Amino acid sequence: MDAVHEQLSESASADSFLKAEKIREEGSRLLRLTYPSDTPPAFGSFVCDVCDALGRLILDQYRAPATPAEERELTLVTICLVARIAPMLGFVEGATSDKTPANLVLPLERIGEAVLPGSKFIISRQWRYNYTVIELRQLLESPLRAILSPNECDRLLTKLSPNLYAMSFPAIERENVLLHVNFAHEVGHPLEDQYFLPERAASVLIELRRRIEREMPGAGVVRLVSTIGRASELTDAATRELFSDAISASVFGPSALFALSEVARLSESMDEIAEDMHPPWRLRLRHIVKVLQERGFLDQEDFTLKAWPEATTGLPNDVKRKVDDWLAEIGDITSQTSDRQAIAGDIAARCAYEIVERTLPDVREFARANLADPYTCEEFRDDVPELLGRLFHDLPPNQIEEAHNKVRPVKVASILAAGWLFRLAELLSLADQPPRDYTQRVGLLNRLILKALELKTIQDHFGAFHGTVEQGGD
Amino acid sequence: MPLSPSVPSLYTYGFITSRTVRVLSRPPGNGLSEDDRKVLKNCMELVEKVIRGRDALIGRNPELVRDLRPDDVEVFTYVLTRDSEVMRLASEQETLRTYFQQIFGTLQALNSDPPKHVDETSLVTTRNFLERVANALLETAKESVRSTPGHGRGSRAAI
Repeated sequence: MDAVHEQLSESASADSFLKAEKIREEGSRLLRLTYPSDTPPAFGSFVCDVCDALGRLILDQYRAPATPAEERELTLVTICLVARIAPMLGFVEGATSDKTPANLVLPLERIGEAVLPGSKFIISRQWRYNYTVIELRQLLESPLRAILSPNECDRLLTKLSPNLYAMSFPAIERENVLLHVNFAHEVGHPLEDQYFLPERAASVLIELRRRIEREMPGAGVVRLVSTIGRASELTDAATRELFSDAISASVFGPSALFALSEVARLSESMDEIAEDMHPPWRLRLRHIVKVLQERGFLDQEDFTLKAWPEATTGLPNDVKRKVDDWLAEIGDITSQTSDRQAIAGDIAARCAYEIVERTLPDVREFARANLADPYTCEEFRDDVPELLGRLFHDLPPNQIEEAHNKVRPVKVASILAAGWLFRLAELLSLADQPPRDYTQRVGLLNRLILKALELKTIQDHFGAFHGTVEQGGD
Repeated sequence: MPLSPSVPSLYTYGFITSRTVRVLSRPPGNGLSEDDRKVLKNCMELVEKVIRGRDALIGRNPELVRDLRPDDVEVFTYVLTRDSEVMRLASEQETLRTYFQQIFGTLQALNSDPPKHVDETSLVTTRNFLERVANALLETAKESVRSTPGHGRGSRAAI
């Protein structure tokens, strides 16, 4: 190796080491901030330890790479640091108390733990307008096992929860607490792998290959493989999204439909497959409506709210009618089948969605059967009207008063459902009034819901000790 | 179906192929350490994945492919679309299978105890293939620097 090459190699190594040091320093700074949960700082501490280990490896093994293979490996370590490790700090940074709906973090963690026992969650904001989930252990373990020695890797990974997820929400919706129902969709994603067993994926792939070969006789190998690959990805992406939608509807009932439709409103098209391969919104809404009909929340024929008592007290007479009017609009959207026509000319999409639509009943049944504590239409019918009544009196909807000094806790799902019904029945009609009035009312609703969640968390912790609150709810 | 920059196996396969190239580049007769054998074994498993993916996507009897995993198909598709030599051979179905079998056989022979003789042509063919895959993976990793982390299939899900 000539002198110039040697110098360059050493400089690349020093540069890589410096990156590890900088990431560790930033991680240490984040550890001094305040968080509503212990999980984000624990993860930040893990990231710092990883940087220490990678820094040592760079000095020990790649200080002066002599062969092209060693240089390639040093570059991979550097890329791992900047592209895989450093972005992890974003989840920690976005999870501080001032950047999250702090009152909602613990209830969401509990819902996540109920759906995925033994899991830990980092609830974090992101500036991208979407809800996302990412499995952190899987994302980090694979590169670390490739790069570090087995002993070093094992030592580090003992500090990382076996099932750790970062769930992110759109930063500008921090206070829009009702929209965070969409977290349940994200919690559903990790469950997918229980449905998508390798054998199932393999049989879908073989079926796609057979179909596409029939549709494209004489096509070259690369074109055929690309089409099969795209069809496979479309099938996989669509089924996974629809699976998570079914989980969301099972965890939160009608609120899942309300929250998802609010995101759908901002989409370019109801009928196109999205760039990220997510299925058309019309299909997703139709699928959630079907889940809610099967679970007894909505009427099978006319989409109206079925899980509602014959008579209610303390509520305006037209509450249910207003909600039913809104549901009728959703019914209009889902009754149309223009999404199916939109993909008719695309071989990969058509073959994929024939399989997707055929498997949907199986997906819904699997989601229903594998959720430990689904939200039932009976719970909705028993709790939501009374909680809604509290909102009409500007009271937080955290409990049902059954007798003097005796209250019954409710599920987070009921609290959020009451909030959604209030918004649909009361606030939508204010939308044509001065924006300031509407904003104030929405702000008050968000604060009441957050207060209810905070009170519920306190009740869950101390209710049994106090003796006046039944145990239950979530 | 590209091997996404954020698919967790990117680094795994990058290091496996690169380290195998290192082992295959050493002068013959130096013997293999335990680590070398582990590297060769991991690389054999990777080539087996490529073969299974090929059999499932363009083989004569895809239904007969045993233990097929989605990852096999991803890896084969990645190799097919990133390696012009593989793409050239793909026009003749059985030629491609013979090519991959030769590579697998070379790794198997080197990893046997004691190592079996491997002719220079097979060694060069295997090393060149793995070098191309390693470089392609490095390029994919470089692309990932410019993209948001975790957008790959299986690593991040969104609404």
